[in-house]
Amino acid sequence: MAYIACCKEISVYGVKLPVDEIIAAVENTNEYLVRLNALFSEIGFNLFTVLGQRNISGVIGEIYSQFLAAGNKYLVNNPHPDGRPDVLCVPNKEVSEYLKTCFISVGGKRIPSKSMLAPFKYGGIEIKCTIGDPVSGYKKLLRKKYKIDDFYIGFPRVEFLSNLNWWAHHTKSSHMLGLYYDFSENHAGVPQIMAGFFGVLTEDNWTKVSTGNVEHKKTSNTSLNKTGKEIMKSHPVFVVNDKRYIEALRNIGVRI
Amino acid sequence: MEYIQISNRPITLSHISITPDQIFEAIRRTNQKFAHIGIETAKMALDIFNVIDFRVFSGMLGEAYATTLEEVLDHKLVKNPSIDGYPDLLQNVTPEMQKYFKSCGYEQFLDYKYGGIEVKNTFGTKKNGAPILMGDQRIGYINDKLDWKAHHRKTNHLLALFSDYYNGRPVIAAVFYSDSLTPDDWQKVQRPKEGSTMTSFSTIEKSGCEKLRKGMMFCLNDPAYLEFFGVEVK
Repeated sequence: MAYIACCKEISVYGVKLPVDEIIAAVENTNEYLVRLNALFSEIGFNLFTVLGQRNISGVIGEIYSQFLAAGNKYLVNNPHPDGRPDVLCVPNKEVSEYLKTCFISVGGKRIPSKSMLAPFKYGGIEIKCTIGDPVSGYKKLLRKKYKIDDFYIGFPRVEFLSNLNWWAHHTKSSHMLGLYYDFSENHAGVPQIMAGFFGVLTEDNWTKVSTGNVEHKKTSNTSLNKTGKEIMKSHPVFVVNDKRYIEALRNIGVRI
Repeated sequence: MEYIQISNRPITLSHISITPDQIFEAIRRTNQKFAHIGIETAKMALDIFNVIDFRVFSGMLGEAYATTLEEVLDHKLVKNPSIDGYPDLLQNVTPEMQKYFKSCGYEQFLDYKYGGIEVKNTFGTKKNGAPILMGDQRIGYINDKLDWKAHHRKTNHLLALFSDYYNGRPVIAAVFYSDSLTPDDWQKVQRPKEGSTMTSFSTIEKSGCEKLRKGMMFCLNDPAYLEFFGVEVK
């Protein structure tokens, strides 16, 4: 898939990230997802179905974070599994030396320190993924046009896109690279990243954190409010060179 | 990798009996699947098992086992299609059950009238300050009590898996079953704390663990695991 760059670079905590590098990480992620799907299919296991919609976004974000950090010497993946942000900016020796101190030695092993990595005081980039919100009444449209009751894993949703929103477990995500993906018709329904946005957010751009309901399998979560969505949609970084996606994104107010 | 069979008792539901051989075959196949994926992803730039969130991965292993057991049983148990459904594997033995299954919607899958079994996996809860990272063998660094989690306290007919990284690969290290769990064997349902990535959950009580321990079916034939579970090898 080819991509259109919407800006030259993004600048985060002293690190300049050329859009070519951001797109290269997208291409690596997309290729990895396709290979991963093939690998799991060989053993009769549909990875994305097993992961479920609830986890797919998180896994794509994790994979993308790894490839993004691997492509730039000033970026490092947060070594703590619960660390934040996801990718640390390490623009100079001072930060690099500090990062070395973010580990503790236990039983001869070097273990990442949660208190120093969640959050990391020198900042970095939070990576979040979304498949987008569907239009209201989409189930009726699905039944009418495709004879299905609801979306299933692998079914492209682009024609039902009504907005972009990103979810988080807290409101601390400030420098966010928000990815938009869809199940790709051209890749046997494997999820592929279609566009990316970069926004500098404050806690005011998120809704109040909800801690869920004991009757449902829901985590603590928050999502962008109207102002947060506007910030993200006003700052596209790249978009797939595909008319359907460009039009769908323009229709929801993305400035491409 | 060898296992010791601890119990000869089958798992008996109203319309199906699952033999220890079938339980073991599902362990063997699940381990094989994960070994294959580990080997293949290691050839790529990124090991998928180092990327997936640990809680998600633990759940995936349970899902993979449930899927495999469904295959082994020739779909006499089928996976509950609802994410909020109970139990995880549904009895689907008679034509009547099969017809009913096809007619069900979200509400019916929440508490399936023909029942089945729940499948839950745990890697054990790390002791405070234990120096282990993703991919490290955990036995010796986890609490004695295994914390199987469910989303409510009604969970019974539980096939409980304990997994670990063994020779660098995720494997099912032991399997337990109990059909005598009551709500009192589960702790009060916890709401996730703000900022937490957990869902609402109930953790098994010590009493529930003891019931499962009495229903131990298989364990890796390795002193570290046999000792952890207090299994005496004759």
